[in-house]
Amino acid sequence: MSFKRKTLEISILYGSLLFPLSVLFNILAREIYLVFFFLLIPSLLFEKKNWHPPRFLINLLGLSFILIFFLTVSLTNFLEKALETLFLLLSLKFLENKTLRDYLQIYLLEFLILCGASFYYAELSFFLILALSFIYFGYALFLHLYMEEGEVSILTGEEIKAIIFSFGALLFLSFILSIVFFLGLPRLQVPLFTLGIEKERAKTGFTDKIRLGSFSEIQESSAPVLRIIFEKNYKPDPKELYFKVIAFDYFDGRTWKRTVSKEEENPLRAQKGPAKKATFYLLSGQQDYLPFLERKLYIKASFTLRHYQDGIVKSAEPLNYPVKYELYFTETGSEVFYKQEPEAFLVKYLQVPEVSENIKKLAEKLKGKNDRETLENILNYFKKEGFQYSLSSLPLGEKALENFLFKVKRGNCEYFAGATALLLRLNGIPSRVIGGYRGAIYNPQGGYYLVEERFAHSWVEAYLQGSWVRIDPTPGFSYEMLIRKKGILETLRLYYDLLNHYYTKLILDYNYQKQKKFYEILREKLTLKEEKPFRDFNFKSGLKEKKLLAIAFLILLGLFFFLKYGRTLFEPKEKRLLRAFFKELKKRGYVKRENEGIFELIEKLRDEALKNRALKFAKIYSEYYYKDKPFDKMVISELKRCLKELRNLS
Amino acid sequence: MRLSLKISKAGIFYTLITIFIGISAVNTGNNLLYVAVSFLLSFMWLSGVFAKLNLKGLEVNVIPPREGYVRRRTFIKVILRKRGPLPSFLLTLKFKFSPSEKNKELIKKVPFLKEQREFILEFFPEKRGENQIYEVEISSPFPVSFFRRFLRLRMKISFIVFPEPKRCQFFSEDLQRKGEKLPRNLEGFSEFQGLSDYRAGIPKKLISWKAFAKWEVLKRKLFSEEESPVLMIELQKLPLQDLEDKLSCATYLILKAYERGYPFGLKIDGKVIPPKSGEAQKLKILTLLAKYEELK
Repeated sequence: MSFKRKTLEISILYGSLLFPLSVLFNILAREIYLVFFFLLIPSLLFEKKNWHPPRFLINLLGLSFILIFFLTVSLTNFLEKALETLFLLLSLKFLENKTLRDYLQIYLLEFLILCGASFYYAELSFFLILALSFIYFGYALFLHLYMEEGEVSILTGEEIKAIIFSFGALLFLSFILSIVFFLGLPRLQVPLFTLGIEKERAKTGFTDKIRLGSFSEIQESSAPVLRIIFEKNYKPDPKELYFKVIAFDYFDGRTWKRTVSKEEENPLRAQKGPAKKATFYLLSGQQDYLPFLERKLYIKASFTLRHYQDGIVKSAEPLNYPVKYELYFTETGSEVFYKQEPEAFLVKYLQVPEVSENIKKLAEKLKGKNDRETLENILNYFKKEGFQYSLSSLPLGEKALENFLFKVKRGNCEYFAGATALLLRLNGIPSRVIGGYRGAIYNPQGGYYLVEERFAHSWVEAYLQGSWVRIDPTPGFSYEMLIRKKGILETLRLYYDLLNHYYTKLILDYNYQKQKKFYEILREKLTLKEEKPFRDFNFKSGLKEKKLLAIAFLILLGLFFFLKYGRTLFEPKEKRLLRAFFKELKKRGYVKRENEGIFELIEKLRDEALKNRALKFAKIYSEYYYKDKPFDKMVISELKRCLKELRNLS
Repeated sequence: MRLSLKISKAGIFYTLITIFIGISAVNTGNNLLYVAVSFLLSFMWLSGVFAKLNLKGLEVNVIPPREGYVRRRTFIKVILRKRGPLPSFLLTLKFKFSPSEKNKELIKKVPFLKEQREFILEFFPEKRGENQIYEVEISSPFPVSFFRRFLRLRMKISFIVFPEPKRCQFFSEDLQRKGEKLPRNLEGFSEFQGLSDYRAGIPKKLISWKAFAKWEVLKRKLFSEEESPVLMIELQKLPLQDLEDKLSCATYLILKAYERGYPFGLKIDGKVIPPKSGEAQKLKILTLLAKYEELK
């Protein structure tokens, strides 16, 4: 197996472009790619012709790209502009005649692009790309160096094998060592800058308004949104989980909106019942709204929060996802989102737009003797009239709601929720539409609940007899429908999500506080060792971290001993004894040279007693070794005895 | 054995980028930047360790030339050995000649070394007399040229470089005048005396094919020396002005005589080496010529 230098170098270099392209594809504007490929395609042709444009021309173009960067950059688009510029500079580098220095610059540029793109990605896959790129760039750099410095034009199979293993060892150990750096590098309690990434994700998240029909896209995406870990021994039914994100209080006939609600000063509220705790990992942006469970008491987060009168919670600052926060809530009781609901406050939940006579008549028809009955009537109306849940062919346009109620009778949750809230309001019952998620997938291996985009849901809250009641009017929208058929793919997907979960927990969520805790544990462990004998170390009583730490330490120790003594483990006993024999002589200042025989070495010994004992050993050894006699137990113990005698000689 | 290090521009660039990403990581608290900078730092640190391992366990064995002549192609055999489980990459060996010839060094690149490699170095010596290789400098940019590591091995490999053999025009006349004809035909050597090792340059007629058939080694037939001419060189009497020319001429004559199998001797500054044939004699005389100054 052999490779030609030029072909190999060019394929490695151009192959490396996959890394920046794979992470930038949904970050940069289309035009940038146009410029990029406009510059890249000629460089491939130049490569073939072995001609390259003069460097000053390329440098001039590079300078102009940097100038454009400074002219267009602002605080909000800094990262995007920086990535754009780096990407274009990269394409320029490809035009140049490449020496070793240029290869290094290209790979470092690509690595820098990946670093910049890291602000956009919270998934494990990005981490894997980063790690893979590191391996790729490492090998690539070494190969370029090898061919240039070693003046090699063709690589043989043996060389390739040696390169893969030796350099692979370097990369592997780098990964292991980087764990230490990752844990130990200095961290700030609060980061100085947070690079705001204002980019909205195309298909996900909530906005301040929902227009009928806009929801269906979200409900087809299986991107993870939330992972929740409840406190120990608390395992709620996943289909009973309703995660509130946003409340819509204003309806203009087509769109439900959230009007600005007053901020509440004291988020602690008077709820009854024991508090439960849930840790939330919010994985992607919801316009900085934080999802929470019903009967929320309190949210604890490392960033500043805004609590609104309608119970909704938002971050005061732009967030870098994933973010972690803790929610305290009660299991029972009613949903209260304002300490005392004053009449004035409830008025806005009775707002109705100009609606058609048909709808007014329907509302009147559904009015019961009391509010409860009215509610029953509305829900029964959907059942009786055969309304269906659907994600496609939804009624759209000006008269979407009317068409839904009287003609199409098919819609997704927001049609049902919107219609219900409107009919309730027309009957004088304060109500609002809630946007959020319903249901979750329980991952038994990780012990957490996973919420995906497709769990997005909307329902209604109505103010009945002094408290807010959740009403989910959507028929046929069942939890079972969301849980896909269990197949091997689904299982694999859940395992992958589990890895993602640990990745989020261990890597993305590692921060100053955790580092401090880690140091404390480490210090505790180190001081513990001095004070108490090792057998006092109790695995069961320790924290999870203690266990992990001990296992990691044992693995490292094992690896060290294996590397150091692994070879000797598989050696026959007589070889080990012979080695011990030479070691003993070495201690006394007699070093065996490579081509020196055992007897030649003994000849040199000056001390007679030493010489005699050494000779005894050598004679037995050579008697068996050179005549190919098997070393049985007797001989081995004899050799051991000789060695012991030798050692005992002062 | 001394190890040293020289950082390259690429290494400085890498360090700057690492620092930049490190600062960004601290300031933004982005854990992926921490991951990236951890990779870069650990790679940097381990590159140093691996570069050391790359040069560790290297042994250089230099076998000096048996015969080397000024301005003639001369060969040095080098045995390069690597101990330990890891092979060595991208070695550049610089053989440095005795301090008096500062600029003279031989360079050999060995991109890949596993266990052992032998190679021959070619060079043209410039100085007659004792030459010395006093140091071998092994360097390598392994693993990624951020720096170059140097290993300097002190050694004292001495060898004698003989004077440049220069054809002397008067050669045949000079000998003929003395009646010592140089036979073109070697038929006359009839009394067979034994065998000796064959060396390049000896007429093929003298090869004992019988011996070759028997041992598969080329042997040369030796005949009684009674009839063979004897070459006795008296350095001072050679009709040349310059000492170097005299030495070169003497060297040439001795080599010729040796090739043809005559006994040869030397008179030099009152010292006499009686004529004899054979390699030992040749080396003895050539060494005397090479170290002419030391005789005095």
